[in-house]
Amino acid sequence: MLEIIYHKLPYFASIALMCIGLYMALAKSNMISRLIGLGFMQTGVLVFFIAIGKVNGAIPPVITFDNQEIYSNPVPHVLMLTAIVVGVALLSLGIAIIKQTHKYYNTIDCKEVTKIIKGEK
Amino acid sequence: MILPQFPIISMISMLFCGLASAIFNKKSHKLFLSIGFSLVSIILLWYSSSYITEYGNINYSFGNFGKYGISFKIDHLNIRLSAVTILASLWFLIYSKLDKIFPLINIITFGAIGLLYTNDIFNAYVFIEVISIASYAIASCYHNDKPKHLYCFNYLIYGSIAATIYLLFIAFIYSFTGHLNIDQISLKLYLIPKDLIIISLYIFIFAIFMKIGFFPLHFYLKDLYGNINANIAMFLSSMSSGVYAYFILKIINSLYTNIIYATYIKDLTLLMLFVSSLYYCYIMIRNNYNYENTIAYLAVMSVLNYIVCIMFINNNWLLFLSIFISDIITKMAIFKYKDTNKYFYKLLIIFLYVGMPFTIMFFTKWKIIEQLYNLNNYFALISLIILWFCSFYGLFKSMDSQHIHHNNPKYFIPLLLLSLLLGSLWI
Repeated sequence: MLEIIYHKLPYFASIALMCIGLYMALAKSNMISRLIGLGFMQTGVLVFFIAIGKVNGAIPPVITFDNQEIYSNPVPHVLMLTAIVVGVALLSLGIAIIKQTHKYYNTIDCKEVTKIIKGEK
Repeated sequence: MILPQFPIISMISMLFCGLASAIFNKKSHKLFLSIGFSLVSIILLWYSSSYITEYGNINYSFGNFGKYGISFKIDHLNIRLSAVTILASLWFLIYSKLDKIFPLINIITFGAIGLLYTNDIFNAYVFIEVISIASYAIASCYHNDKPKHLYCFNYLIYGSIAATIYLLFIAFIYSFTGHLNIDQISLKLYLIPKDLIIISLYIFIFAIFMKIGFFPLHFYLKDLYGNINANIAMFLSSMSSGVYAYFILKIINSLYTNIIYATYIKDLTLLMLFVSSLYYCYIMIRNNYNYENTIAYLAVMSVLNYIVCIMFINNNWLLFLSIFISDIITKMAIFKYKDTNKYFYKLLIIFLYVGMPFTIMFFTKWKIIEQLYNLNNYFALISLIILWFCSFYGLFKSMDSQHIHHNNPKYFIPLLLLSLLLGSLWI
């Protein structure tokens, strides 16, 4: 069992990250925590993606002229660069929205903001 | 030959327009630029459509990597949907007068066209995020009364979770097939175990249903659409419904044709599309007391949905029954207005939504009826015609009564349940 976990560690790590991230994004009340949770979840998927590009016994895809013929797949790494950029854009937009929330409601706690909105109604 | 490049030029022009209009401060400049580019794009798409009719589909591959590169596939369906998308955004630009968000609207249009054209699942993710990020920004710009950024934040969180799940779907497919191109995946997908194919289908459906807030997963959009500017809500709802529904059907038709119940998921998607449209329509109308906005945006929303529907017409008469019931409820909801003196608008609403001659809806409904006639589905045909007259009569009576028709939930919930029941029977 331990051996399986050891060999599949990136996959287990990605699942753990995704679960922690999902929990934080959905269950936490603080808006910053939710945003961090979203980041965790995205990182979990990134790890999963990069893990599937790894080939056992292979080297990074850089030509070294030393008769090494097996290379890891570089495509997932390239794809994940795009996903990271998207994630950063989302993070910045999320922070901007949190700042606006703080400006109007003087708090970044979702429960408190909901109470204030309901109180207004 | 430049003619096959027209669809891509029209797409890029919308991106350029979005970036260029952000430079200008004056509203008139932004509007002029946006209208100009949109009209040019529509003209280019018109010529491209005739080219496709003559020479067949247009395929692009980028990067010169053969089957591994990003590819775009343009056919009759997506070129028309892209024209409708540009028209919808043009309508919004002219009508809403919300000049701050013109660049973002153009960027959403660019993303929507890209999503329609792309034949690569990761490229689709990029376009989905282009649409999403611009949508989150738009949603947080204008509100009905006091800003309610919490709902925009929830929109961002749930939308991003959905996008991350879609990324998981890509990883899943890529790990088994080694391809991102839809055509190449469809060739390899049958080699992997069927259980894994089904899991990937579930992940995909869940991700996209959550992204657009289809009926069971609509919980986070309810508050948002009720509290942001009605024009923006109409635009976001119609755009996402039409474009994402096309994307779901494209993926299911391309990759999962061999799965027995893929067709049921396709039908379920269409049903969800109309039920969720109905739901959002009602929310938006409830929060909007302006006749002009209602006419403008409900027309855009309905036309987008009808066009998707016409393109995928089957022998599914119950679907059309559901659509028309949804239509009736929408029409009933229109009469919850404080301003009862504008009879011209009321009359216009009746003409638009019952689909009287020489309105857009007339041609779309006529097309549906024509296709049902060709399929010899007379039961559906007669049902639709009866519903058509019922809706006209209901509207006419409401107008004649000369008082505000406050819609109590007891009037529309039975119809909604009937619609769902009919849909579930048919599934």
